[in-house]
Amino acid sequence: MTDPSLDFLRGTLDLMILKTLSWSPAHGYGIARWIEDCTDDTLQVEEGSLYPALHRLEERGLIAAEWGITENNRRAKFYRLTTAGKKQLRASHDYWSRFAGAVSKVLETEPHTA
Amino acid sequence: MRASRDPDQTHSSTPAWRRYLRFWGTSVGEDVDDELAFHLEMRERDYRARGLADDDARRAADRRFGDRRAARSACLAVGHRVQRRVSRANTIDALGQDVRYGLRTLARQKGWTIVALLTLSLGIGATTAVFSVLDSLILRPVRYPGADRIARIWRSDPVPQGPTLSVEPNAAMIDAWRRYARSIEAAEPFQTRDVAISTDGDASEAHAGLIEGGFPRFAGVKLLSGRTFLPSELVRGNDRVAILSEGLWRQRFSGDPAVLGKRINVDDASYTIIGVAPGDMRLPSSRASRTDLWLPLTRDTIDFGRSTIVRVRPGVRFDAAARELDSIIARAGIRDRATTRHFASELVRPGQYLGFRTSLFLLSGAVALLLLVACANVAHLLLARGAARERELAVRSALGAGRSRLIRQLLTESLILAGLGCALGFAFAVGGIRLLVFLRPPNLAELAATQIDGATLGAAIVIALITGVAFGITAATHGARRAGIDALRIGARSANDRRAQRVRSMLVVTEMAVSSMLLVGAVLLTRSVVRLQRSDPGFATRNLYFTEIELPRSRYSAGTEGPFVDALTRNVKLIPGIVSVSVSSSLPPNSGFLMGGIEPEGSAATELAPNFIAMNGVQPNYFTTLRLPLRYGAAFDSTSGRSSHIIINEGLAKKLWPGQNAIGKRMRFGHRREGREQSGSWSTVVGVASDIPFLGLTNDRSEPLVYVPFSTTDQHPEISISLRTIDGFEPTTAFRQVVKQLDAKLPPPAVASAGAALAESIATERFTMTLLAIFAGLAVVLSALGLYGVISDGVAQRTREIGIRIALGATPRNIAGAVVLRGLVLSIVGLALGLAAAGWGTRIIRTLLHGVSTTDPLSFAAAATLLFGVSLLACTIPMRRAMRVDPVIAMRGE
Repeated sequence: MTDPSLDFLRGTLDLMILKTLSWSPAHGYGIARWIEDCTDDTLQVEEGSLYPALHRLEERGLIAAEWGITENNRRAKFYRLTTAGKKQLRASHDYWSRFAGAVSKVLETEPHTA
Repeated sequence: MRASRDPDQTHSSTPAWRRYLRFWGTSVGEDVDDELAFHLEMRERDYRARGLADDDARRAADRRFGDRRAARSACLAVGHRVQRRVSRANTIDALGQDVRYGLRTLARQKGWTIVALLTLSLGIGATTAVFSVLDSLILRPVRYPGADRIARIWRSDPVPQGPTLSVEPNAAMIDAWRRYARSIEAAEPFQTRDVAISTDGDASEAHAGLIEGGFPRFAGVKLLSGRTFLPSELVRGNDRVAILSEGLWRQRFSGDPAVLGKRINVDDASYTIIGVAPGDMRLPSSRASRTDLWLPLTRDTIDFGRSTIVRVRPGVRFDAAARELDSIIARAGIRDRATTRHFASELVRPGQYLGFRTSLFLLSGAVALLLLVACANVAHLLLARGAARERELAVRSALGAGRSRLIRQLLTESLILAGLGCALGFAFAVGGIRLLVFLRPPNLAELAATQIDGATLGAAIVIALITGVAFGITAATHGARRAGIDALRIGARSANDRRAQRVRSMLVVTEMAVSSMLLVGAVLLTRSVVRLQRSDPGFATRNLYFTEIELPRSRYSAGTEGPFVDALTRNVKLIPGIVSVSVSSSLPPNSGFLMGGIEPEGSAATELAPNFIAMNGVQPNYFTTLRLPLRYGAAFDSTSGRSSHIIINEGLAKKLWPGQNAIGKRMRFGHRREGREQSGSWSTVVGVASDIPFLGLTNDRSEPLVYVPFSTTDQHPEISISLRTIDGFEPTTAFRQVVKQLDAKLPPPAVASAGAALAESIATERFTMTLLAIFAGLAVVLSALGLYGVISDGVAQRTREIGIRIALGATPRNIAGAVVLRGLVLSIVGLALGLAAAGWGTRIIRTLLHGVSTTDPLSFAAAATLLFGVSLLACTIPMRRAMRVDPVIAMRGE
């Protein structure tokens, strides 16, 4: 990836996926809905990148997938957080909090008049 | 859930049957499609729930998703990557499983595995060791740059008459060649000399290489420090400079970087150290396995013992180069010294004329045959095991192992075996080379530099792998086929068994043939060596000891040698236990030489027949000390030293004066020097001594040998001393003490019994014999094992048949006869083939045999008897088993 902003965005998406899965296992649609609901639809998940992100996380062993049956008896691929994923979530969470805090400080601080 | 209305809808529900397909494996594409379809379906349902019409809901869901194709291909890429990784891991896992299983199986059958491994690794190890020696001594004796263009050059008679005569090119020739020759790039003379070196009074013997300044460049090495010899240092008087070898530098000067300019004593003269040469700077051939230090080869060094090595230009043939070199010295008018003949230059690859050459080729051939036998035996073992494991394979096949899986398993086992055999073979090769170096004859010091030859090791490993794979596959396919056909039927014998037995019979015949060839060779050589060893040397070796003292030229001259010799004999005689001591210029089985001709008085010989004439300067008591009988006449007396008395051997007496009494006859020596014919003064024969060996034990002892009185006016580089002792007295310590008292700077001389000294001269023959005997012995043991295996498996397979026969009234004798007959037929066929081949092949070793014909019937008979006896022995164990077969048990089944 050459565009650093894309990397940044993807990292954000990964973090949100991991956080979502930390509550309970879910299928892709469930994850998308959860994020939408959490943010009152202000953050619409780019669905085209959600699935590649899920598969990459699975490849990295941060989440695991298996086919299961939904509550209304539909077959779906369910994802859950692995131990490695939990560790990764903790690390990213800390980083993100510090980062977000730093960014908001910059955004909220006004210059002193010398 | 509802079924979709539109059958073309891509995000429809998963057909139920596809779920079952997943049982056998996943399809990445279908999984991704299913997952995305589910998502869209869910989204569409949500939109519908919010009140959108079906079509609108679907479109909205599509829109909301975005670029579906891109997402799909991104997911597919990840999925395929994962799939590849998994399948790779699976393959490795299966292989690991095969290897683990194979190792377990081999470990379970310990006896079988050990025999197979030892057989294979012995074959590989012995072959690699012997071929490495062949490579380092003959095929690639020099490792200089452009090694295939390196040649030794000498000048010899284009038309050989009598013993081959050759001389080294002299310094003037080398000068002319360096100046004018276009066919060679460089010419370097060299020589070796054993010297005594000392630093701070600590004396030891060392091997010196005498070279000119260009040698390091020729050898393609850079001095570690300092410089090489200057042309001005190749002049006597100006030559007190030395280059240390790396080894000597580390040992004597502990690797002192400031060694340049320090001094080292060489033969009691002080030399300035001007350089240090790396350990890999080596002479092309040297009696010494190493060179400790390098000295300038001065221009006036005598030609005898000096060798010249040249590097021919790329693309120039050796004979063409020799022609050019000859024309150059002819134009310059340079002549060979000390000969009447016109010699021609000859360029020879180093190692080409090594005396050990024939032996080495013989041994290489023998060891290759041994490898063949070893591989045949491993093939036996694999085939036999394949047959024995049919039940195991049948069980595994019944449990669902596919044929390819079984074959892979058996093949893995063969390869593991071959691999382990190779590793062990490498160890054997290293050990084998050490052993060869340890056993080496003293005149083959070069052998010590042998390094393991990678190419040979590679070839041996390839052969081992081929054997493993080829017979592994034979056994495997055979076993797998049987497993497929007969499954668990026990005791059923198919045509496959008979085919395997036929292959194995052929292997046994081959092994027997090869073994008998090797055995014949070994017996012939042994007989020859025993003959040589038992042969009467012509003097009494019991209680007789030989030794040599080298008198350094720097301190001993013609004037000072005499007093030393007198004092030595006087003091040695005082040692209690010494009966008699005698000094001579050489001792049997060697002799000094004079090049020239002999002219008996009264003969019409105008041309002196030029030849090597063996000469030995002896003190009057030489003949009594050695107990070497004089046929006629008397030994020298104390006045002979100043007179012109000589004693000749019987052979020469018969040649010069056949049927006459030689005593009182006169003869003279003549030779040409610088083209001028020179004749010595007349000498009178005062005695005729019986013939003794003087060119080594193997040569004709009736060749001319002349004894002259030992004269201290001639300077000897070394003097030989024979000591006759009383029974059981070992004179080494006492003798060394005497020498030390006389001259503390002389290194302690080596004293050897006369028997040992004689034996040493046939060390090469003994070495060859020992190795060939070892190879033949191994081959015989291996083929006996092969025969045993075939016969005993044959008995095991035919237990039922034997049982029936016994039940029908066959006596144990009949049964035994049938079993043994089968074994003996195989061994006799092999033996007949082998002996026939040996009858033709032993001519190769003709030059190694002394007093034994290449078709010596006794040797052939001995080899045949031995092999036949071993075969009989190999048959007896299966024979006993066959005789003990209980018909009731045998017929009930296994």
